[in-house]
Amino acid sequence: MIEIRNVTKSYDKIKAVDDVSVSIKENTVFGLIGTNGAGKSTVLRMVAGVLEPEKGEIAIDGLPVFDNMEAKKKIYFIADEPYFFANSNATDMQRYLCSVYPEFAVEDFYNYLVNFGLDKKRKINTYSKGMKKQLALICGVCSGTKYLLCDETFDGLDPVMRQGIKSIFASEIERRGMTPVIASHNLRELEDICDHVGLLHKGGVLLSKDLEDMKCNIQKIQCVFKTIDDEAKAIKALDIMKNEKRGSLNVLTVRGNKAEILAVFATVNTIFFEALPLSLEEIFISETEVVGYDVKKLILG
Amino acid sequence: MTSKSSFLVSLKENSKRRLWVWVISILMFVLILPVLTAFGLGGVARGAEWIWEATDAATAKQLVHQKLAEMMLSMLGFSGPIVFFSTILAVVSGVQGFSYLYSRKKIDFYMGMPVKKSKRFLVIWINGILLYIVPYMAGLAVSLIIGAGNKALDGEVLYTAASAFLANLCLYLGVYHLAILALMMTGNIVITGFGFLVFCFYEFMVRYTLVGYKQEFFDYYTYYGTKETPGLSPFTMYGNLVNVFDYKNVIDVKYLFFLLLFSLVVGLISYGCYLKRPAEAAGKAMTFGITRPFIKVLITVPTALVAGLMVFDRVNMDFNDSKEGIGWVIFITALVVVLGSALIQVIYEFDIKGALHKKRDILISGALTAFIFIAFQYDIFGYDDYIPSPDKIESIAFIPENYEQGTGSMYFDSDGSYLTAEGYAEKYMYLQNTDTLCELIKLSMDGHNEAVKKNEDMEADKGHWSYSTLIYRLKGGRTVYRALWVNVDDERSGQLLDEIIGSDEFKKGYMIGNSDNLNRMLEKETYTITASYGNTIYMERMSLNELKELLEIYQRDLALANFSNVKNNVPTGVIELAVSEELPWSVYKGASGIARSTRGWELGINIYPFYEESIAYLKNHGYYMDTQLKMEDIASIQVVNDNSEAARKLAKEQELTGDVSAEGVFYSTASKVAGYDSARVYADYTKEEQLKEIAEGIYPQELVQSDWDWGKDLEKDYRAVIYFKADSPITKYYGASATYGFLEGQVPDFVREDTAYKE
Repeated sequence: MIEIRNVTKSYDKIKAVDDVSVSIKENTVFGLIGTNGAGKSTVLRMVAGVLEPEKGEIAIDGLPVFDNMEAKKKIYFIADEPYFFANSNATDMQRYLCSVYPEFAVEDFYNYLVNFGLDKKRKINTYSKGMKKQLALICGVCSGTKYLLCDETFDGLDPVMRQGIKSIFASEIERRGMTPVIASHNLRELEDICDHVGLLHKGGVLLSKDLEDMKCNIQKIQCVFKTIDDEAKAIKALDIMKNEKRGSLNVLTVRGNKAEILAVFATVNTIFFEALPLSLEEIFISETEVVGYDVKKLILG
Repeated sequence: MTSKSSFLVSLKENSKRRLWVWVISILMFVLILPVLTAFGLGGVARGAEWIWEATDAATAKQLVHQKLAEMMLSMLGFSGPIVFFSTILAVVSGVQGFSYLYSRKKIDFYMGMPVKKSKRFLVIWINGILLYIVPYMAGLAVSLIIGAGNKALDGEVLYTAASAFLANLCLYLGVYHLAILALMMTGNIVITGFGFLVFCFYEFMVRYTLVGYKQEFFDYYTYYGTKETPGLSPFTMYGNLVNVFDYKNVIDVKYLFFLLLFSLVVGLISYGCYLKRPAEAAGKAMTFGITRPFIKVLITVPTALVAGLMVFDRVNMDFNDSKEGIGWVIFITALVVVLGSALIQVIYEFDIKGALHKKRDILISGALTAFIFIAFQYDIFGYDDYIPSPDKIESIAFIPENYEQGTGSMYFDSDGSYLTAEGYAEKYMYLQNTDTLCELIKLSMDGHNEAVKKNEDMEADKGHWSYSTLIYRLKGGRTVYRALWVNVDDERSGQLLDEIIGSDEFKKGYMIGNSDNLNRMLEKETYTITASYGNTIYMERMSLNELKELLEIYQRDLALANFSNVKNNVPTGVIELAVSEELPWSVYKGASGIARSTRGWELGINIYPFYEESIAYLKNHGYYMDTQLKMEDIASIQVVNDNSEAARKLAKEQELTGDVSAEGVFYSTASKVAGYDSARVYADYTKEEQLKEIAEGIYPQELVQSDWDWGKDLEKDYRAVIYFKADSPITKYYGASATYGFLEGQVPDFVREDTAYKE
């Protein structure tokens, strides 16, 4: 488990990360979401042991990470702009990584290259941006580390590739318990990959929850009440996070599990009733609005 | 899956990342050096073909080998191009190796890897050294093989090449570490470049500034003993190493140790900075925020002081009065403080708006600059008043400037290396009469300060102030250098000088004719020694044995010399001595075949009338002349009187622009030098009585030279041109005429009358 406890980091007296505490469990795909400048990269660079926190602690499976080789052996960090040696090709990178990561899966590496259509002899500086990201991900996956830190790595990947990566992640999670941590400023990019999401804003964590928990605890209901009294009765009984009214149609975002909410609606008369699926975006909008933020501005722009 | 995380694998991987540096190094050492060596040897062999014709086979073989070995030494020894390339390679290698620290992208990659910082440093560091050592050694080996193939190899070549390799490696390490340190303290390559230059030249700038200010503000500062070259520089240390090798043909362990120690210390500091360097420093001007104000102040203050110094000089030149220009000095100094601080802040922030930030640093720089300026202006630390207490002085060296130099004396050390008078005295003069010296120093300084305060003419009737250098050796081991002006006409000063100059220690440390080094030199059989005695016009060659005997007597007679009797007498003659040594490695084609370059030493030792034993010896051996001219040689004498006083008056009357100097030399911007020419009067004498009377009062100009003691001198306005008879021996070996001067007060009345200017 990666434990980030009360971590603070400043650049030239400007706080990039302010008292952040997050726990990242094993065998999950953790999404770290935030706007540009929210501190995602700084958190990941600290977790990777590149930056030293001013305050607080970061532990990888209980080991402090900064300047600690034992902890670093468990991590592979893919920066937002992955670096490859000048004039090198995929084979050169593999050889170097083999000298650093003893568990590097050479066979898998070349299989993945073939699967992704990357030429092992072609110079990396002739790759497209997306191809470089794919190669970086392949390097990271094959390094054999327990934790894979990806900074904006999925941004710009096409859906097919994303699906491919997603399946690799799934098999690696299942096979050896790999834990990817993916930072992105785009909620939609993470929706289908992450199990757990942390939202960073202005250097602090707004929330950190399991996606399923969030989905189970928030319901979106579309209904038309028969009478005003029915409407009042239902609203009183429900923990309503948001109520949009379009004529007689109520669109309610309600906190609570589905069975409880349906039980409430069974006690009132409705002309029309429908429970809708919630997107990650909608869940975030609802959650952050509760704490006073307009997440549309924060994440979706 | 194979684990390859061994050190060698890392080294190999790192080498791949810096392949181009390896290629440059290999090209230079393994290709260019041997090729140039081969070309050089070929050229020497072709150019030395004449030797085979000019001499026998055995000698020719030896001489050609010498020339080839000389070429090998110039290529593989302490050669400038290798030093230059080593320096460039050290900087490139140091910067390239750690340049990943400039880039956030690369830092994220490397520092995210499970590789220890220390291991990464070691891998890059060793690689940077290997890429110098391996090609250098390979190139050296190839060049030596080429040398052996051309019969140019001998023990000396091997020894020198090995010594040069060792010294160059040490220089490489010093520069390499300096470049790494500059990189560790900065965040981008441009600032690293500045940083490296600052490391190389900062000490020089500070020393230059201090010397400039001492020269400008302190009356008793002497340049001798000043080291403007930076002590903490690998280049200076390397230079010292080479200088010693040039003289002694050995690597000086002391300098080698200093160079290695310097490299080690800078290397360790670099390593410490590397460990402490934050990843976020990439791209910033300075790595460590805490160093910013210090570096800014440390650069701004001496820069402002140098600017002030330059303006000070300029103002003096323009206004002839420093006080009139002090406003400019203050203005320019302050301006440089402000602009310098602002510029550095702009570099720190990469933002022109940053110029107005950190005003506190400008104030600190300004205050420090002002303090240093005031400290010099008002001599806050009492530099100019400093006279060590006699009980703290171990010994003193007192070196008059240009005193008793004969007809031009050279100072040299026991190995023949040339020295200045001050350098010689520092090594050989240990005056113990410190009370006497301190009294003279105090007396001279008080008198001089008073004279300066009153702005008196320093050469006026109140006495002549002569410059000397003092070297105090203090009991604590410290050496202090000071200048001193002595009033050589002052009675008490004269008494004290008699004691000082009359002492054996002074004569041992100042009179080169009294030197053991000279005695030893005369014993060397490989030296060519020519000696003669005379008055610089009439000279008689003497044998080496005679010279040795005369020198021995002279050294005894020297005990009779002191300040007063040297001042009040004129030499009767001079022993002129020329020693030369052939340089074995310098064979060239001379006008008459094989020749060699030489190095030589020339001395002129004055013989005074009171050196009775020496004079007796000279008389006994037929060298002594009772008069300065032989009457039988004289055909005629022409006396020239410049009448400088009259010339001055004429010039004034004719309103010429210009002036007549004290020596009667006319300087004018006018094309017509009417006053000077029209006041000069010539008179020719042929009558024997007149010639005899004139001959009694004249001396060769070279023999009587006014020097430090302002003793007996020749009349300024008068010259006597002696025309020798065509059949006289002097005409054959000296020439048809010689110029003499009249000793002060010894111009015969008839000459005065004949040559006086008449309107």
